[in-house]
Amino acid sequence: MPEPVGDATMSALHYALNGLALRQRTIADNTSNIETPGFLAGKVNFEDALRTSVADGTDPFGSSPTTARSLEPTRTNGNNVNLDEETVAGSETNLTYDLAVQAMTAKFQLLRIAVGGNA
Amino acid sequence: MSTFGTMDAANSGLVLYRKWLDAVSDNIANINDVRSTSDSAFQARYVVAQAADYGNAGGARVGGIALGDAKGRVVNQPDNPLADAQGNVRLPDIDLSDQMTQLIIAQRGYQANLAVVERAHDAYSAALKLGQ
Repeated sequence: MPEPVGDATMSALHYALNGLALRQRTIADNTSNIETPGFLAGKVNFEDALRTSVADGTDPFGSSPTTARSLEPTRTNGNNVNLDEETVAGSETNLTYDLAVQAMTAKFQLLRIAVGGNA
Repeated sequence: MSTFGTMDAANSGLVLYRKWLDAVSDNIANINDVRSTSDSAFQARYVVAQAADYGNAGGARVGGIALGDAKGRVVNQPDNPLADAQGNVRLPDIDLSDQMTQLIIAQRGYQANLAVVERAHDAYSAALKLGQ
């Protein structure tokens, strides 16, 4: 019997929140280093690992989100952070984060009904 | 990684660009400094940014300060009280248009990091409302 609180949905959402938080932090890092010579933008990926674990029915926490360095062409100072890209990615990450929080809240509300409280 | 790590990274960017702005305003304030030719000219300061913990999203910091030319430019001003026997004084070799470019880089950098702080605030507020 699956656990009522820590089921697959919760686990996937939890993993997504972790990955999105890391991405947000990496965007902050990229933005603060926009004029740092030789700095390559960091790009976080957690979707691939999450998709695989959901498809296989395994625990997503078996792997961690990964940060790769962007291989895009650099400016003359060896830096390849694009402010427009980071801003769009930041907004998107925030909205996705809100979405995951809402999904988790909905899940908690179901649990609250199930345990006999008022939703 | 602290509880509000995104805030820390964005804050380090704010501090960096504030210092950058300070350096630029100091350079512009001293653009007409007169020195005697036996002294070195006022040297402009340029902030060199550096990643605080490269690869671990630790934000940015001031890695060092690059100094402008100490020789400056020698100008003939016989009436200047600091002029030498030949009537020459030393002025800093600071280009105002270059400083204005630096000023805009610093200003835009500050604004971009401030936008990240606001976004981080929204995300953390959402996380704190989880389950409500």
